[in-house]
Amino acid sequence: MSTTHAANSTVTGNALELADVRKVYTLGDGSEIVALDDATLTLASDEIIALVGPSGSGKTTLCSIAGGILSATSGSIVVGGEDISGHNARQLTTFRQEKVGFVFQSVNLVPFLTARENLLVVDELGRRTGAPARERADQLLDELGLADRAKNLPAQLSGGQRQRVAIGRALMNDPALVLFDEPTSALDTKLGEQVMELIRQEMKTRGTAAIVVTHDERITHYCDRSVHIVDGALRD
Amino acid sequence: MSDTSYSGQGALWASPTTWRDTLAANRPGAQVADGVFQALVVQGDVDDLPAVIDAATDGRTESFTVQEAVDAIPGVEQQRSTFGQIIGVTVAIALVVIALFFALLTVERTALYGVLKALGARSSSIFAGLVLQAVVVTLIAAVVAGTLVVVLDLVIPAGSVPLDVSVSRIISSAALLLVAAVVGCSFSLRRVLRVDPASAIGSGT
Repeated sequence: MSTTHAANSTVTGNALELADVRKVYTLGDGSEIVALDDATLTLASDEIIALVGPSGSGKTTLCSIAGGILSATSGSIVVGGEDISGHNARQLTTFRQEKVGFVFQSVNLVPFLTARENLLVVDELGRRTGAPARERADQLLDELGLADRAKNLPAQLSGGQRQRVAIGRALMNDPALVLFDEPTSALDTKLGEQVMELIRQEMKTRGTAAIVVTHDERITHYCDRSVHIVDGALRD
Repeated sequence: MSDTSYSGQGALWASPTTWRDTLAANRPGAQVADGVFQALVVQGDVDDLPAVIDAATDGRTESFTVQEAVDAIPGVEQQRSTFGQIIGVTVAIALVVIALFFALLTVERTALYGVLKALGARSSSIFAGLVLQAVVVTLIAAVVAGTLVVVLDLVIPAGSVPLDVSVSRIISSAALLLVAAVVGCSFSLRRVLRVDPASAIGSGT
C-alpha cells in the first residue's frame, strides 16, 4: 500500500480522462436508449467536481463507467493513468481494488463488522498488507473524528458517522479517484455542510480527485467546479 | 457373553456335549454323527485361505473368511443396508438443508455482495467466504453431535441397546457432512457470480 501512496503523489497526470464516451442500451424491440452521449470530461489529479443533473440524466451511468463498474459502449476512459476502456471484468475488479473509491448513496457498510473492520475489508479484498493497513485504518478513523467509535457496529452509529466510515473506506486503498453518490441527500443542511467540509479537506490533503454527484445546489460551492449533465450530455 | 449376538439375539458358549443334547432334543433332523463338527475356525497366513482349504479337501468343505460368515448370517446384510440407507438419506437431507439455508443467505446478502464487488471483491473471494462459513457451521454442529453421541453411549445401560459407538464412525460421519456442506453451498455459486457491482451505485437517480 505504501508504494501506491508514493506513486499517487508523484502522478502529475489527470485523475480522469473521458473521451467521447457513449453508453447505449438496446431494448428488445430494437430501439435504443442513450444513457451517455459522447461524454468528454477531464479531471486534474486533485480536482473535485460536482456533477449536477436531474434524475435519469445519466450521472449514475457516468460515475459507474468512470469507476469501472460498468463498461462503456464506445469511447476512451483513462483513470489515474490506466486505460480501462477495454478491460474485462477481472481486470476491472483489480482496477477497482487499487484505483477507485466509492461512497454510495445508501452508505452500505457491512452490518456485522465494526467501523474499523469495515475499513479493513478493503485490504482483505486486494493484496493483504496486514499491519500497514491497520495503521492506515486507525489513522483515517482518527482524521475523520471516529477514533472512539472504531469498535462500534454501524447500527450503533449515527447517519453522519456512518457516512464518515464510508468515506474512510473509500480512501483506504489511496485511490486516484473517489466517487461520491449524493453524499448529503440523507442529511440536514448543517450536517451536509460538515460532511462536504470533511470531504474537501480529505481530498485536498491527499491530492485525490473526486466526483460528487448531487442535485443539491447548496453544496456545489465546496467543489472546484460544477459540470452539468442533461439527458446524457455534458455541459459546463 | 455380553457383547456378541447372533442376528440381534444373545449368544452363548457351550460344550459340544451340551450342543449335541440340545440339537437332539430340538432338531433331530440336523444331528450329525459323533465326532463330527459342522464348523471350524482356522487361522492362517496364506492368502485366500478359504480357497486353499477347499482345494486341499477336494471340495468337501465350504470355507469362508470370518467376515463372509458374519455377512451370511440371516438379517445382517438387511440390517446393514437399512442403516446404510438411513445414513444416506440423512446426509442427503443435511445437504438440501444447507443448500437452502445458504441460498437464502445469499439472496439476503445480494446488496452487500454488490457493494463488495464494487469495492473490488472477486467472485471467488466471496464464494470462498461462503464455503468457509458453511464449513465452520458444520464443524461446530459435528462437534456438538459427536459429543451428544458419546454422552448417549455412556448413559444408555450397557447391553440394553445394540449400539456400538466408534470414534472412526463419528469422524467419517462428520467428514461426510462436511462434504455435503460444501456441495450444498455450491448451489449458490451461480447467484454469487451473477451479482452485478453496478447495482450498488445510486438507486435514487
